[in-house]
Amino acid sequence: MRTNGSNMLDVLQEVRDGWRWRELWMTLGWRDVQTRHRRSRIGPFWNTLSLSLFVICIGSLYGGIMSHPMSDYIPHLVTGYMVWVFLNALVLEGKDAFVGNATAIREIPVPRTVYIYKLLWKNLIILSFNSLVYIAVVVLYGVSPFPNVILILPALMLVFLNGIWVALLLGLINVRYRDVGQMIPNAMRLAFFVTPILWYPDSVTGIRTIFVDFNPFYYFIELLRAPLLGQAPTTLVWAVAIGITAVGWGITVPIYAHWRRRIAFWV
Amino acid sequence: MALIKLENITLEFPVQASKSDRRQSSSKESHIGGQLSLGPSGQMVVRALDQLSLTLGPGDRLALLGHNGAGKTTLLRVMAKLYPPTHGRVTVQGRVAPLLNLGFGLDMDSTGYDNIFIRGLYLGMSKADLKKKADAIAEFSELGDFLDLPMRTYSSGMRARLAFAISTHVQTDILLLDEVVATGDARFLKKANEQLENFARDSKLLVLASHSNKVLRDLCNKAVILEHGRIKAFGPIDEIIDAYAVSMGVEAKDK
Repeated sequence: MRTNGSNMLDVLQEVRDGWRWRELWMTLGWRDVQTRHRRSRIGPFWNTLSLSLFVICIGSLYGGIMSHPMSDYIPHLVTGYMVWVFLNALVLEGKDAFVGNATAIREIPVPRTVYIYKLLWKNLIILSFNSLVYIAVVVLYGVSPFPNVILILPALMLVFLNGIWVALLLGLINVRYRDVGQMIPNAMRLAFFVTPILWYPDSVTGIRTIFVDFNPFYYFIELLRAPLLGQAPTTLVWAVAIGITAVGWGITVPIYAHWRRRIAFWV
Repeated sequence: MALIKLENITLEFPVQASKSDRRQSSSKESHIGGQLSLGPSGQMVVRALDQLSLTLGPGDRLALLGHNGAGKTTLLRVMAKLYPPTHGRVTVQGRVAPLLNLGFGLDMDSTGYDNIFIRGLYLGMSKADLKKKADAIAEFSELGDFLDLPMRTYSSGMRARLAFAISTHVQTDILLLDEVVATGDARFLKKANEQLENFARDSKLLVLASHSNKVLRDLCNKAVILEHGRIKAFGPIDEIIDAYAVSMGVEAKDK
């Protein structure tokens, strides 16, 4: 099998074709949100509730440990953690984008990006349920996110662009090498603790700054967290995020172009 | 305009992690399955389809005959463009609605009515279209009040009715069915037959794999016999079914 220009164009065409099926993936994504909480009385609001419990407990404990005033720590925690839950889900569900839809892939010839858009849409919905907690915190502590909060829109676009390549790449690798799928949750658990979510990026010094400076998650957390707190992400944050997007797509397109025809045999 | 043109299709599956310590190879040739061989890197390769060429046009209703593992389902998947062939060319014109796996696109915890929408969307229909057709689909399936119950309360025959009703009501040019209609009872079979005849009259194309000669005779006008992924015979349905029965050493009469 060769990888040539036309194969790569096919990938981009699949990315575009998936968009045309939005009625399908929007329906499936919304159903995924609902079915996770089937027969429960408050349904998807469990997302909101569990985030609030987390913020109340962790906020009062770590805010004390880190001796930061609550009015500062709680908004930092709720935005950072909410964004982390979102990014974490994009990675973990992205790796299962093909494995988790094996029956559909062997049955119906829809563009495979449909399964990726479905998970992006599902997690955007969950993010909006979670943002109710954010709104409550902003009101409670009088944080004014305006006018920079508008930057959340380009930031989200950038995150989605990354979500697509991450799912294409991890999804593909996981179809062939299932051990990768076992490894990723462990890596993500570690990433949560080494990324400034519970703590502040400026509280590390010396050699430990590598956990901030060379941590891709830091840049994406910051990209979404800053606008939510009414700040503009720094030029460095934008530059790194855009750079990761470009490199990610640059790596993913040829790899996916080469192996995409095999997916139906491997799932 | 419905058209399926297969030119010299070969399809090989690499089989991972299946080093059998049972024995090295069997001396007697088995008539079950595709052809097994060793690939370039030493892993097992199943050649499910072997240099197969076939052209189908509007109005053709093709029956796929063959023993277990002869390549019937694989061929349907190639026609649905789910499996890209290792060699050869596939040309498919027209919209394809596959019905290969009864469980697919049907969520067991949702009602039958909801499932009309899920499966319909997968088959490329819009929500607006589905709203218009939902009643016709419901009526055709004859499930009545069961449509408001979760799918897990359905028998396999009832699931088949619903899946079949949805697949035949979508706007499609090519319908691919795998051993599905056979699950229905006689009354449903008659209905399915009428529906598929209408379907063929509209110059559409149907391919059906089944082990039931009665179903095939009722629904199809042409047939192929597959053996080890190759076409052994191709022609009018009755002739081929008789030839197949002779080759299998069983009586052809409506088994």
